[in-house]
Amino acid sequence: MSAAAENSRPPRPWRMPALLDVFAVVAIVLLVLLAIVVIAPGIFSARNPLALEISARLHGLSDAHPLGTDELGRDLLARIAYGARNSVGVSLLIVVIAVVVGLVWGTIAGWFGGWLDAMMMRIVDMFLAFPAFVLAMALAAALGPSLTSVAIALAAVWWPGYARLVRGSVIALRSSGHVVAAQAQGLPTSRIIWRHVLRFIWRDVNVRATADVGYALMAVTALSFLGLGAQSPTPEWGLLIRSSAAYFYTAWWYMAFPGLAVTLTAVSLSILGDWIAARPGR
Amino acid sequence: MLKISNLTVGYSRSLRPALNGVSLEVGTGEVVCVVGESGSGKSTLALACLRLLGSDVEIGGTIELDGRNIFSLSAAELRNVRGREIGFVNQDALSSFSAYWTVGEQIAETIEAHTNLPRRIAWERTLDQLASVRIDNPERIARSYPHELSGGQRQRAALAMGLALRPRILIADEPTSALDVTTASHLLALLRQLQREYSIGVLLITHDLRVVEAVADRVAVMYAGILGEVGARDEVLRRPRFPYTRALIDSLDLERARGSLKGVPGVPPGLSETLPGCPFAPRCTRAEDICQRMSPAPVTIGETVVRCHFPDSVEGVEVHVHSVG
Repeated sequence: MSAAAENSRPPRPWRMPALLDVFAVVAIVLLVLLAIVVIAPGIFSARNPLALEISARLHGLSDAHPLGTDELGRDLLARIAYGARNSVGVSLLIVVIAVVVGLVWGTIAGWFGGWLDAMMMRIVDMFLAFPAFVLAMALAAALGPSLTSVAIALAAVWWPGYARLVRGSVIALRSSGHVVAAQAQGLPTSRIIWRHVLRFIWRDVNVRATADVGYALMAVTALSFLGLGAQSPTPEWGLLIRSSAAYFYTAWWYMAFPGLAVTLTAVSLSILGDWIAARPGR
Repeated sequence: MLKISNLTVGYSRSLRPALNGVSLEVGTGEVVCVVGESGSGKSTLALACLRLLGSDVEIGGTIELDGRNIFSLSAAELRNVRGREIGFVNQDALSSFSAYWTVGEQIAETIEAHTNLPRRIAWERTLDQLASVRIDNPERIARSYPHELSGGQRQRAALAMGLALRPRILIADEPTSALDVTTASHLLALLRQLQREYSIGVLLITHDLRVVEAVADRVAVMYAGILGEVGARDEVLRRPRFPYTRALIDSLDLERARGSLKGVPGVPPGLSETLPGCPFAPRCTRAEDICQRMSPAPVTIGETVVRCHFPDSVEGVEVHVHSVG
């Protein structure tokens, strides 16, 4: 009888860990570090990111300023560390809003179907028909340049993707055996949707959301770089890169470190997403 | 108790209704088998009894449970009927349990959804329920995921879930089709035993006449959405009046065929074919002109209801059907 329940699996022979696993470990370490920076930037830099020090303008790497200073003598390490909260925090917020709105929207459309579905998905199509970046730029320009308007603009272009993803899966699951069985048992609809439908979609959403935080980060920094997002003196990665552009030939560290922060974070999130998707099972 | 009257179900985008004027009753303490081949509409019938057909179907006729029409119940009433008054066992227990939750969690979930029992009590009832379908070590089975169980255990667990709230009617859609013959006959014996113990009515959908032979009190033969013949099991199996029943029995009768299996020639009509006459006429050996043109009205002979223009023509033939257990 059911041998699977007993623990009788033969020991697995050792094999080389896959390249993706190695990358994933590095990515996770970096992201944990980043999370600490976002939660407590003070640990990494005792300096105030806004404190000016005119005597130390555009200083290179030194013990006092491990990553150098900017054109007003502000400590770059402090600005990057405190900037993480703005750049990564806003990216996370954008994806959370997009996931929640998309999940609710897609579930309602997919589960109830009919004219409601048709109407809701036409609205999604409307949003998808706009080039995402242009819509975000237009919104940010209309609402006035700030991190808040960037967040609103990007969340507005991001949720339709989740609505699509969720709706498709809900429709496929709605007629699957275990959902019909759950209905036949007379379970409340809310419970069926929560435990027998969304539970099955969660993994796909998770994979996508993980990678999307990275893409959102690039979009946030790009919009800030264009001057539509964070405004001086807020420490923010995109804005740092924007203001560094003028000193590109004289102060390499000024552009390199904020750029590295964006790149490493985005790549780490992308690898993590791939890794979650490639993992077997639940 | 469960009374299906003149039920017609049409899927949109199909020319012919999937069920056409089906009338059938399931009384307390009897097992009614609906037998037919794939696509005959028997699963549609099972789903219709629980109003699980989705929104893109057209439904005519009624299904009454103690006088209440299933199709006019409110959502809350319907939820009470499902699971509590009518139990359901699906064909494939692997797909009727969610892969993410243990079997026990799902049975307990059904109990909790219909009672206000605390989780601990619901779990104990789940274990009792698993024990009542003769599962040994219910504790371990309850904590297993569906894919960790054998087909037989899974189907027993599905039966336990279907009967968890002591419904008065159980609808079982091909409960043994995914099982081997030995396991199937054990499950059928168990089903029969529990049905007597709880004195419930069972509507059992099957394609297998041997299942009918093993458990049925009455049998309804379905072909292309119509019930060709409804009557007591022995009457129908010994003296089939609907030519399709006859053909089904012949196709099973290994002894008479002596090694060469005899199928029913031809294929059943699809949902995109319109049929003005008897749907079986194109494959029927004794079809005449009228069969092609006119749909036969139900005729009552003794206790059997037959939809055939020539219901007497296959009378008086002694038939032997092999039993599985």
